[in-house]
Amino acid sequence: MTNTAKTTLQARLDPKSKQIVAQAAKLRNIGLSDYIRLVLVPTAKKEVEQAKNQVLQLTAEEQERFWMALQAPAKLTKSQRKLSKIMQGDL
Amino acid sequence: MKPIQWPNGFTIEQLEKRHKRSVFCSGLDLVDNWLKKKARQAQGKKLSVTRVLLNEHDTIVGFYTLAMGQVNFDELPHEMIRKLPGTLLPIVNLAWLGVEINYQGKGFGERLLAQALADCHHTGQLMPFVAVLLDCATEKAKSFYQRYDFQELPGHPMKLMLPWNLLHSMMDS
Repeated sequence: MTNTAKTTLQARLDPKSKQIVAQAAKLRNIGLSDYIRLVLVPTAKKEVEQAKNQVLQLTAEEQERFWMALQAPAKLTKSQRKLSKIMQGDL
Repeated sequence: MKPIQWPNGFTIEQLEKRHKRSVFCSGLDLVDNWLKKKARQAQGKKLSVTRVLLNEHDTIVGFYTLAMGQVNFDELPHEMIRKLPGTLLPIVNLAWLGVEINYQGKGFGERLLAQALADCHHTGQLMPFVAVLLDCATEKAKSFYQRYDFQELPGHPMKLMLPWNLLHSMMDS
């Protein structure tokens, strides 16, 4: 038998984020609870599954920001230069 | 390359059964429980490696744990990933780092971080990866790592990142 018991999820969001979630739900012509069930829960399931295999999941926008950070030229800050000296056995 | 400088009599070793883990106390149960209960098990399963800093009496002064992982890049725009060998890119996780409470505030955390990153760099010469991710167990740990200007991993506020080219510059400057 399928467990159909419902529980409540409360989340604190800034007004802009709340508005965008509501807008996304409206685009699918569904309510917020259905949006969370249909969109958020499968994403969370995928993240949990991938974490078991030590695979980190990022959204498309996060992947792009991470990729840009990987491509950025390396310029050491003062504190990184100090750590660098310790790493090289000079301090 | 010269080894990292430690006080006389201090040594870095891979975690072994003979190391006295049960008396280690960093002041944070989460960190202590990892070392006492899970680190050797994970090492035995080849999921991670833990190295311990021992003082002249063979007492654990601090430790860190490194693990390999992957980041899923399957949603990057095609023009960005066309030169990549695949969409799962390797990373190294600095998963845990702890210092015994009586040794905190004396620079051991900084040296353990330096040793962990030097180990990552050495590994990266043989097994390439794109970045080191630093897992922050607490806000205090995050503040410690942020002293070195490491950026947050997008979408993961409790993970900081050190791209390979920055790590390489730190060992090559």
